[in-house]
Amino acid sequence: MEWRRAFGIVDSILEGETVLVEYTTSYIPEFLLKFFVEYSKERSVPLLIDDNFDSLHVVYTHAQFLGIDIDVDDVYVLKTGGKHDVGKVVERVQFHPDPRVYLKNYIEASSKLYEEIQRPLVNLVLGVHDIFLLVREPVDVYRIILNLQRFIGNRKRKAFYVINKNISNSLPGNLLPELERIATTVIDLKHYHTGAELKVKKTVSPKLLGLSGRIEAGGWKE
Amino acid sequence: MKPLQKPVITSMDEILDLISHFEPGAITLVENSSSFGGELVISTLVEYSKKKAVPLVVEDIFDTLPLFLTHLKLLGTQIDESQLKVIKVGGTQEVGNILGRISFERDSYVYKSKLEEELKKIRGKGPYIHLVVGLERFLAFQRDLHGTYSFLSTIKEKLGDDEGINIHLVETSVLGNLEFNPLPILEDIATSVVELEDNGDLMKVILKKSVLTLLMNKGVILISPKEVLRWWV
Repeated sequence: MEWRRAFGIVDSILEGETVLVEYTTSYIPEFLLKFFVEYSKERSVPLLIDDNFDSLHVVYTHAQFLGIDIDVDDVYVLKTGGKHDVGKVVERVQFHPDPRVYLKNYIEASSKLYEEIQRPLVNLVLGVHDIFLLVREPVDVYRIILNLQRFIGNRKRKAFYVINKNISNSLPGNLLPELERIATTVIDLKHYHTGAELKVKKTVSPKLLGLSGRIEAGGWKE
Repeated sequence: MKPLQKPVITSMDEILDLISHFEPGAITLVENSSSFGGELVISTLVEYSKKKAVPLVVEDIFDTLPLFLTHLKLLGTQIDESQLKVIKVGGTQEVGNILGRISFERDSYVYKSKLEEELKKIRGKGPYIHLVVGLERFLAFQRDLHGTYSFLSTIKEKLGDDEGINIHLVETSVLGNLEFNPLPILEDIATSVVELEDNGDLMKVILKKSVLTLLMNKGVILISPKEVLRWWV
């Protein structure tokens, strides 16, 4: 299908869902950023990006090299760590290697944001693996996972965690299977020359059950 | 860009044409698992630097560059060493034009600031190629995940720079043996990722993540070092 037609998939995700979008080394994150920005415009749904440690800067800069034009002016950004601002940075979270401190900071900043925006939104989370890299104890990994779990069912949002499978598997601990377990929908994207093969591996949404297909990246330069 | 006419690249000019797509501020990761991939990269970059008058700075970690040059000599390829501006990081075998020397530094932030001090000698005059060789040796010295992570962060900082055309050449097999394999993260940070593999007497260049794939609609490029560099003849 043409990539804009995949907007229907986001429509079918239920409010309150936590979706895992899995990929391996490719330009999938760059195309996903373009996709969600366009979705937000077309459906007039606010887009909030969790930018962990300049991951948005990385993806945005790569997209520029590819000649993909992305308008991030109206994108709300919740920024943890990093130095390069992209989009409308509305809140900043101070990272701390003790996840109890970090999570407290995060929850404060994000609840302020949800107050402000007041409408159901799409939340795109980038660079989540960096957080897992920076904590030191196995129990800390679970503190963060449990926190992600607490956000599930929050009807103010549809959250999409963009996860590089190879990175998750290279980290200590049992990260990917745990994330897949807590997620309400898991979408696997496998790239080829001109697009990606999509497969819904798990979902609570009746419309998405067993869905698979190809998404063509054609027309991405317009 | 026009699609490649022939299935195998047999001339230096065709390779230089490919290199011209590497832009300042982008990070290219070259993952080598071929026998002489590093040697091919060095010799083509030296040619490129000469022909296009783009300075070539090599960050040589633990004597990796002299190893490549020795191999090249035995393969019969003459390298114009004066074309190489070298920043030595540790190691003792000096080759090329030494721009500066940095003692080995485990702390990546100290390393970075020392390196930037040396790079000042070249910056401010337009684009230059910044090739890093021996990264896997440096990463092997990191004690924990945290050390590796902060080093990766300093690489991330090169993204979007307006002068440095960044190329990191790594040995896949050495990185794969480290306790924590940083390759997937490096691939995520990189703007382009290419893999080099032996394919008989050809070099197989796999465009794992590359603008070239989108431009040429091609996933693999074959190079004949026999014809391009007169190896093994």
